[in-house]
Amino acid sequence: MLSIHDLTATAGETRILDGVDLDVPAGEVHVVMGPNGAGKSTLANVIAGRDGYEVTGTATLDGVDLLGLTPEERAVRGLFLAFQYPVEIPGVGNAAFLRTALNAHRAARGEPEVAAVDFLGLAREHMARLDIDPAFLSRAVNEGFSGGEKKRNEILQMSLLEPRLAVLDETDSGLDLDALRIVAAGIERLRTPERAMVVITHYPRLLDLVRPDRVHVLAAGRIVTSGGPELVATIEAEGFAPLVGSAVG
Amino acid sequence: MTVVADLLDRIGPVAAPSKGAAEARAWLDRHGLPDRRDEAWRYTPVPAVVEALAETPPSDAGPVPSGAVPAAIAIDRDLVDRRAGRPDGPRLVVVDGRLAAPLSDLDALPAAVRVGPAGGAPGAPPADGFEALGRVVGGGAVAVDVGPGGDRRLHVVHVATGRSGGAHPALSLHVSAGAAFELIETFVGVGAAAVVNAATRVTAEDGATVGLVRVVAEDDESVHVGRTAVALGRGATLRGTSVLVGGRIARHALDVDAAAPGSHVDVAGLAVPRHHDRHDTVVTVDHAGDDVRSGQIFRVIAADRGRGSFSGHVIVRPGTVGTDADQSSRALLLGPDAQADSRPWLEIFADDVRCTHGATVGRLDDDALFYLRSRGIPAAEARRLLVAAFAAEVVDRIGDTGTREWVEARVRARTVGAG
Amino acid sequence: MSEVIDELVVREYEFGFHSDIETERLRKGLDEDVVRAISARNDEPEWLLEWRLGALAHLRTMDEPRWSNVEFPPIDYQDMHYWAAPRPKGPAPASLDEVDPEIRATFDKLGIPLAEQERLSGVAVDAILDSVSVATTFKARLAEAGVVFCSFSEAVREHPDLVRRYLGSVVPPRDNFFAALNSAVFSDGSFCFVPAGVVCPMELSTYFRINAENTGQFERTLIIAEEGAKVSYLEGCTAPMRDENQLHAAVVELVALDDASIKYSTVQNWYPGDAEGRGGIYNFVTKRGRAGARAHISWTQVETGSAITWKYPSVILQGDDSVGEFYSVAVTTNRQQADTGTKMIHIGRNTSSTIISKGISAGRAQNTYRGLVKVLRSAEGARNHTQCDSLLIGSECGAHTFPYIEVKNDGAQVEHEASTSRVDEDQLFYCRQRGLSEEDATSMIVNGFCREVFDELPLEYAVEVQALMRLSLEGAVG
Repeated sequence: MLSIHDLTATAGETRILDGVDLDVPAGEVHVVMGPNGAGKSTLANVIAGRDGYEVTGTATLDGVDLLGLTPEERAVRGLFLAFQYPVEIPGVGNAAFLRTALNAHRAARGEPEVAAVDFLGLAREHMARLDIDPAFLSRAVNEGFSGGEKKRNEILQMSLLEPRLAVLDETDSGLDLDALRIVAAGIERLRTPERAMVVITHYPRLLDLVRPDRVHVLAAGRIVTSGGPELVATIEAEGFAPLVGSAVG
Repeated sequence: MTVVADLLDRIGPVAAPSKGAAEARAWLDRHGLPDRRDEAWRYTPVPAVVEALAETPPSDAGPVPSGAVPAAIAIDRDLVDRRAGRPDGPRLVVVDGRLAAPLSDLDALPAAVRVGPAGGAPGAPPADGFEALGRVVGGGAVAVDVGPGGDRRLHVVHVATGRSGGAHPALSLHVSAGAAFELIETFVGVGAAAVVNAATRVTAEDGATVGLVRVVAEDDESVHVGRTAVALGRGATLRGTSVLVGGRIARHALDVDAAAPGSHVDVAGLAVPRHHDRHDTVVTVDHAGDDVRSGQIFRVIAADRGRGSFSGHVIVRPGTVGTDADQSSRALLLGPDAQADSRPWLEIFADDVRCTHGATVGRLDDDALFYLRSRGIPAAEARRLLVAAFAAEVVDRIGDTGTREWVEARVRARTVGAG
Repeated sequence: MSEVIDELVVREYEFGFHSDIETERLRKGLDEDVVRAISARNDEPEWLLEWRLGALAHLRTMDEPRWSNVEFPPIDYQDMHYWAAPRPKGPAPASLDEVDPEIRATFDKLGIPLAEQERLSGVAVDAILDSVSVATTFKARLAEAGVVFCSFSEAVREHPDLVRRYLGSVVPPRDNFFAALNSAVFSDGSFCFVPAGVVCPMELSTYFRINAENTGQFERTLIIAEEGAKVSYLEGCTAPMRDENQLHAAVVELVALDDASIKYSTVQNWYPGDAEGRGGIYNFVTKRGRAGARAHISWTQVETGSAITWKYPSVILQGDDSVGEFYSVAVTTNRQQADTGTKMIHIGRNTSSTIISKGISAGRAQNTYRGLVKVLRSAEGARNHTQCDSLLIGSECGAHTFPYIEVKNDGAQVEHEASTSRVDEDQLFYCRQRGLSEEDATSMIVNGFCREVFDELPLEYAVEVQALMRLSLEGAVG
């Protein structure tokens, strides 16, 4: 589903991604780990189309080139990014925001829009399944949300928008166990054979809660090694250095 | 323009007109003195300043040539020390706007620092009519030139004797690229009520770090109108602290021209008006260069019928990027007749900016007072502690211990029994 | 980003057209004879004529105010018609159904759902076409409650004592140049009186537009709420596209006696001029309210039109425990200039004021908040909270904040906060990653930015305001 080949990303004078190759088939959960400064969040941002990087190489979603599309075009083709620090948008109600996003996706697919009144019912269904307090809907987007609540809001959006590819940027969530548990539960609940997920993280601890199909190590801007779930144990025991050292040499 | 002509007439003849006096006179004839409708002068009672300038008693000794100390009033090092908080380190003493060589440490200046009369007419036009007036009747600027080198400091003690025509000190400071230097200007008075019209112009080259401390501490009947203009080079830093703790009218207008990229402006001010004082601080930071960061902190503590005013203007010019400007102004009113004015202004013509400001006016916090008293601290002492804490945010920035402690004592004396 | 922004700011003025109604008007110029003629047309009593002439005398001693950051070519006050009226084609209409069809068509084109409002929500409408009241409805229902809502000229005829007592009591003719001008030549406006203890049973509203060439619109509005009375008033207007600037210098006075409450809301969408800033309306308005003990005056405005807006709806907090509020959204695009804000004057004890101002500037517009919070010596325990935020859209516009805070009482607590920035990149990216286009994302974020103010508007305006914001910021209509 997701196919990245020789991807580079440069911000100003600094080359952050230096030839990333990554393939993630539908139905699988892949994890990308790596030391600080490896470019993990940059990878997530570049896939989603954030401004500020010069990008070369290819990235396709089911054969469709992503790099030539705007962020919203990538989104309605089924790409979802769960942010590390979801931004607050004061004065914008969560319900209105979620409904507008859902309708943007539906419009792109040629489907009819959901009316406000119907949306509430739909949202409550998803929230019940994910064990999220319905009061969420009446608050402003992420405003005054705790870390855990922000994560729940990201997972709720993922659930409503039904992406084909979900990229979860969890680079620094290691210290917040509550948030980690929510994310892990969300991943497991939203796993389907048609959906691919990429979890980008710094801490092996998340992976006690999520069964990855494949693990990649990103260091110095490229994927230096890939393996099965057992790679996590190796990283926990020995750190990144041996893996990185051998690749960078 | 008759106001100007009349005022000049009453101030009387000038000994040796400085270079640029003729140009300044032409400027003054064209623009006149500040008007109450001039927004920058809204809170300074201009007619009272004009009256004070006109009314200073004539001196028996007549106008004094540059460099000499007026004989009528005995000013010695000891007097300067006592009046100006025992400044530590090399100092210049300026009496009634003229450099007094015998009282100054011209042979013991810090490394690579030169002091002399300013050669040629001032480069920049006057900031306002009073500065122009100062150039017409004053004795010319003292120029301080700071060559390359690390941390150095120079005190300039301005002594005003209240003699005819007032004191019109003008100082120009040039700090070379990459140099670090602190100028501490204190203004004190001896004898009768002084009238002081001070101008300081600073040029900081690329990468220079300039500290400017100004303490206005003339006696209760004095009138002080002053301004500082600073031009910053690329990546230069300004750290300014201005304290008004004297004078029945005291004004400091600080103009910072940040036209080169990457400079950093960090300025703070405190005014402590009491009795019937009018203390006015006006700060303008002009962000004309990219990536300029500025922060302003202003505090007013008004006692009796004192009125403290603060106007802080941040301008961000079109086409600039990366501006970050913060401003905080707080006023503490210590009695039912105290007054405060605050004008935190933002004038923004570019979109890549982050500008915020906050202003509050009020009295001492009842909860804080009660908390201290519940721990056994008597009410008067509790008030004193809170007032000192309020002032500390500005006063603590004064690095020179002698000056800082002197300022703390003045703040304490001016606010004791109030609140 | 820049191409997108250019699209955002260019917009066609939706209501730009000019209806061909025959208009009777006075010769150009301003002098005693013109004032007498206006007074005679309205059949006014002697005292009111004298009042007007007094104002004219004051005007002659005054200078037009000039703010340094609002630019416009000099106005020739002698080169204008000071009064115009549409010629009715039959006897005076008793209800909307009998109004001149051309005029009704004009209202329909403007999209003013008079009929709908009448039918669905029972809102009384006092429609003014070029300085003359054309239709007033629901007078009977209001009369039942004892509420008087009529044109100003009718109030002079039917309630002269009330008018005489309160006219100029909040905005005296010599208050400022435009107030003096208005006082001399005002043609008509709205009058509302709510007797003691009465809660006005419906939202009151007014639509009007400027039609004839070079006719200044000088509306005079007076709203009086007696002790314990309560009223909510909406003002919304549109105007046609013209090539000459049109001056609008209205005066609105609110009198809230003890325990009374007046809520005055404005949605202003007047012709702002073309993309080069030519031909828009000049809106120089004086609005002020005086609050008695425990009274409450609240101003809410959404300003998206006019070439130049100069207005400072203010509250004089005279009575003890009185409350003043000001909620404002001002949008400027292309070459519009807005200099707007409020004055809260704290005089009584324990008064409080709240100011929330949201400015959005785009194109090459200049948007200024200018506000005064003044606490007099007598104002024990005064409280003020002010929040001024500005958004810049594009790099060629300006957003300015000029607060004046003057406090003469140590028991006051005054807090002011302001921030200026562009639309946050992180917020934009977040919305776009969820599928919203850049325009939709900006529109959503801007609406969120203005939310606190929109929440203060009467419900009827909520939809119109959302549409207005979208129209102002999202490019050509249709």
